[in-house]
Amino acid sequence: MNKYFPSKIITKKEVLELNLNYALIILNRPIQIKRELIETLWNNSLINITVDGGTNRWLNFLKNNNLENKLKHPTLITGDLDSCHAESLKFFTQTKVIQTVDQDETDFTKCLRVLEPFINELKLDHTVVICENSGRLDHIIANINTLYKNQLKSNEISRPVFMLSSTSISFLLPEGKSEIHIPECAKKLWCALMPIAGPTTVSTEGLKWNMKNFEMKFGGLVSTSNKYDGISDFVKVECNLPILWSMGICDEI
Amino acid sequence: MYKFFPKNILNIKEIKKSQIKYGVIILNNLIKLDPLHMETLWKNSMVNITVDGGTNGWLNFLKKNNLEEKLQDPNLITGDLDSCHAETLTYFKDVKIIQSNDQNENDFSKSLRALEPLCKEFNLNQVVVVTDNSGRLDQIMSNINTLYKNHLKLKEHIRPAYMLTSTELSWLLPKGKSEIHIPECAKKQKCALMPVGRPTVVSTEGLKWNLKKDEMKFGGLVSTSNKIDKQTDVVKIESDFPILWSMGIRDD
Repeated sequence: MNKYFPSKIITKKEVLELNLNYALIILNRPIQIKRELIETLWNNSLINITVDGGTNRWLNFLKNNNLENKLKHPTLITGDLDSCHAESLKFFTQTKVIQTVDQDETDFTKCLRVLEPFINELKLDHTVVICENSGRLDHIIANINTLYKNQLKSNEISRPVFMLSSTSISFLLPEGKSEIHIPECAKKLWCALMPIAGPTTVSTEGLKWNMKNFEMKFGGLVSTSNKYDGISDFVKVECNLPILWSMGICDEI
Repeated sequence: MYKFFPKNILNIKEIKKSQIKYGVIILNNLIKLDPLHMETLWKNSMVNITVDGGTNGWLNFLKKNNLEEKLQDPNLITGDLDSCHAETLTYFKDVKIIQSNDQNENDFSKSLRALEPLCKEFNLNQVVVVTDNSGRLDQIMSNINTLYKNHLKLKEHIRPAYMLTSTELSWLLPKGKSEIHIPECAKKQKCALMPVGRPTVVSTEGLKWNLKKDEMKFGGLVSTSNKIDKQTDVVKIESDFPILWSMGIRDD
């Protein structure tokens, strides 16, 4: 049984109180998450990684919020670095750069590989990835593929990877049973289950439109713009293949 | 073998001279296409539909580009209309509205359904969907699902729905062999083949990284950030299931 508590990631209070061990990754999309939450996530993470153009995004974020000299530098900069500006590399003097040039994998996939040895070393519980779901379709799809690839890793190094945007949190549910706690402020928002990799048999509880041993697939049922039943604190999902879950989150931190 | 000529919807001269009949659907409420391109697509289409918030987007586009009295009204406004502003509906008061609150289908699917009888009436061969990847992952996936459902419904009669953003063009390739004739604007641009929904065995010619009967699947090979080889005029693809193709149409 896998249990997920998104509020532990998206609520400043819980991030501070719970003091979980996590890694934070910044990908190459505009940073639109509330400044206070990003600051909190950055300050409390055990390892901060900016990936290629994400490094530029991070520097812009610091400049736009007068935080240049207030937040610690990234622990690592990774990627093939074809989008990373020289200015960004120059600014982050305390940051180790690991250039990953392999063109067979995306920068995000390679970043999670770089992170692997730190998982046991730092006893990491999960990874938070800052990335808006906008821009190139193939990049959005590639990030989802990275989640699937990560899912295939051994139990020793496979940890949940949460994709966090300004309006949603998305993650892969493994095969079997999962429970997702619904943060209070998210209860009136949307949620979705998307069988990206292939037809998946799914049962749910706690949703407005539940499924009972239903085969979900593209060309058929893909549960988007779903909602919650209004009485449950948890959504329960059972599936025979990993499936992508996404849910709306609110602005309050 | 199916042949695709995206220049008929990407190149302004080609749009005007092409004999191919198409419909336009405006899905999103911020139109980022080059204004002349958008105007040309609209003027030369047989049927124009604005969907819910896309109707606001269309009105904003007209105002921003001083086109209010110059372009024909949409033929239809569709969707559940929960995002459509009262001001917009007042402006387009003479336009036929097909409102649907059915929660089992997204607005895009509903608009294709509304377009169906007009496809027959006007002999439409393709649909151009003006959209954007703007934030909600489930809506992006929902639109991709609509492409699959639409494809399954039409079966042997291929009538592609091209998803057009300001930087890329995406559509579902049917199973079997396809040829994509690469327009000038897309040469040397990035492209991608994405087996959304199921593993697919694929072969290609004309790409920087070609495939040869490779199984594409999530958790394995998904060909993103590929490129159209600089020598290529025609990309050839063969797949055992429909597969999602995307290509850049201008520099990012």
